[in-house]
Amino acid sequence: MKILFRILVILVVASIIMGATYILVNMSGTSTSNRPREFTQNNGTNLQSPNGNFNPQLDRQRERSGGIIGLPFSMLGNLAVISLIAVVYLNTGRLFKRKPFATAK
Amino acid sequence: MSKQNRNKLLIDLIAFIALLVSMDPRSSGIPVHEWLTIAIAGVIIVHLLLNWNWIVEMTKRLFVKSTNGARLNYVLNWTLFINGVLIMLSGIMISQSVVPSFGITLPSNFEWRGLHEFSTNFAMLLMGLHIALHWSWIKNMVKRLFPGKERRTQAPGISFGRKDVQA
Repeated sequence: MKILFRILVILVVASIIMGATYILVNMSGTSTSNRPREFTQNNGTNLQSPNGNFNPQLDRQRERSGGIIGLPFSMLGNLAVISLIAVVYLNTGRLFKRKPFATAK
Repeated sequence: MSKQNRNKLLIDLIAFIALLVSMDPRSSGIPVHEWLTIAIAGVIIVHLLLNWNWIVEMTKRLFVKSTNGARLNYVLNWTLFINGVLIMLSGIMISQSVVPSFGITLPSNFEWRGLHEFSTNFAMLLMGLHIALHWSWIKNMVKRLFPGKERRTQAPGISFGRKDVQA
């Protein structure tokens, strides 16, 4: 019962954030102009999205590159980026904690 | 090592690997990306439940008695949670596999796509900081999980400490 209550709390908080974001995004969506957007592919052909909505065909073409062979490499790439951020933070923290100079007796 | 700590480490490791897989939809494919992310959301709920006591305690004494590091950790965790919710929501709004499989069509636009890309990139930064802030815990847990190597190097017969050099 206690766990169910905790799950409910997490879901309610998430729902509040989602609701607020949905309202904000829709407000910004209606304030921007609805003119059609155009994209030019490498081969010169234009892909146009009607009413400013995203074009699923264009989207799929963007997503299709890569493949399962690229997965380990992209995983390693993302891991490297996350590790780099962690290493930079850890070393920055140590740098500030370190005493400036060791005094000789 | 307690069973709860072992479970925590295991769950975090699984979630992290799943996150790495789902971070590149071009390689894993859209259906894997979307279904895996939903599974990760479930794992994150378990992660929060396992650390519930810490969340409650920190919320109670955030402005009363806590170190700056603990406050930073608390704020970072909230940012990570909000960012995760944004990723989920924007992902649902531009879904090409999960939502259509339920026969639902959502009016998606470029704002959701932009938000999804921004929050995903921001999540990488937050994840790096989250790992950095918990690095000592991770290191200790891994050491406790694999204690063999540690004990072998600390055995008195094969120890070469600074005393040998100074003597």
